[in-house]
Amino acid sequence: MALYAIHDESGKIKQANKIFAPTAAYEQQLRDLGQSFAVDPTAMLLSPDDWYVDVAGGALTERPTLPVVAVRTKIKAGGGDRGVLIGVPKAGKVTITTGGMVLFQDTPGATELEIPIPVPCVYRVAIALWPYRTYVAEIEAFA
Amino acid sequence: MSRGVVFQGGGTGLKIGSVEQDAASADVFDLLFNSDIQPLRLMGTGYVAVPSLRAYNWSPVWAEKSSALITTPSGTYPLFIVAGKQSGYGGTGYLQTPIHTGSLGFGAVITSNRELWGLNFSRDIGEPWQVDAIVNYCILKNYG
Repeated sequence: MALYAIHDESGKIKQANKIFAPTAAYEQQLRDLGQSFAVDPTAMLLSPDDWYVDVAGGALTERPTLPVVAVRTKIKAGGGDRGVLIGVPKAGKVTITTGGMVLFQDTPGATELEIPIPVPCVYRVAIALWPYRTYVAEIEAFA
Repeated sequence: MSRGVVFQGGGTGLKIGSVEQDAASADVFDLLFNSDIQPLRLMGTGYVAVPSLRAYNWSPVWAEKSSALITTPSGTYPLFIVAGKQSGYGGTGYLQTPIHTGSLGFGAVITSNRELWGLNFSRDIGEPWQVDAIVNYCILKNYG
């Protein structure tokens, strides 16, 4: 039994295959396809949201956590009230969605985000920076 | 009236202990799957990450080839079960069975040479990038 984690040049896992009776032919098949992979004899199927391959060491590694803190997540809609996140990495890509629709996606380059919401709803704020886990917070605006 | 159990001979790889048994009088072990002829075993599980589309038109270049397929012995067939997580704009998505609506969907196809190709029909709108769809699968194999 072995887990094959196939990754790109940054170590992001693009495929993972848990093979219960691995053979040399299977590993050769991966090499023939030109794929980079790490092998772990005991790991179960690992989510790419939480794990990556440390390319230098060639080992499966847990993705670290971003030091973001949502200090204000319930605000009054409209007016001057704002949701506040601190500890945002300047290189982090911020994506704000509501109801699955994207409202904003960019790299603001700030360590603190202030987010006003014009109408009562929930904003989902995701901050992505490789190889950290994507940070997600919800900010709710009430009437 | 026939109560015979004829389970093989129709092209299926599934096997019972002994063929053409009369269900009323057969030994129970002849009606069970023979332990020496396991019909199906789990060969492997996995997932493949599939990027969202950047254009309206879908084409094979948008599929993501999985390497999970393993050569199976002649005369046997791998079976596949697929589930996944659809694309979304960061921090969204959850595991579900494949969906196909008018505007999005994901899943996988098995090609004639037994390769699995993950598909993601979600299309990015404008500049924002969606996260990859995650297409899960497990591979069952008839070891004959």
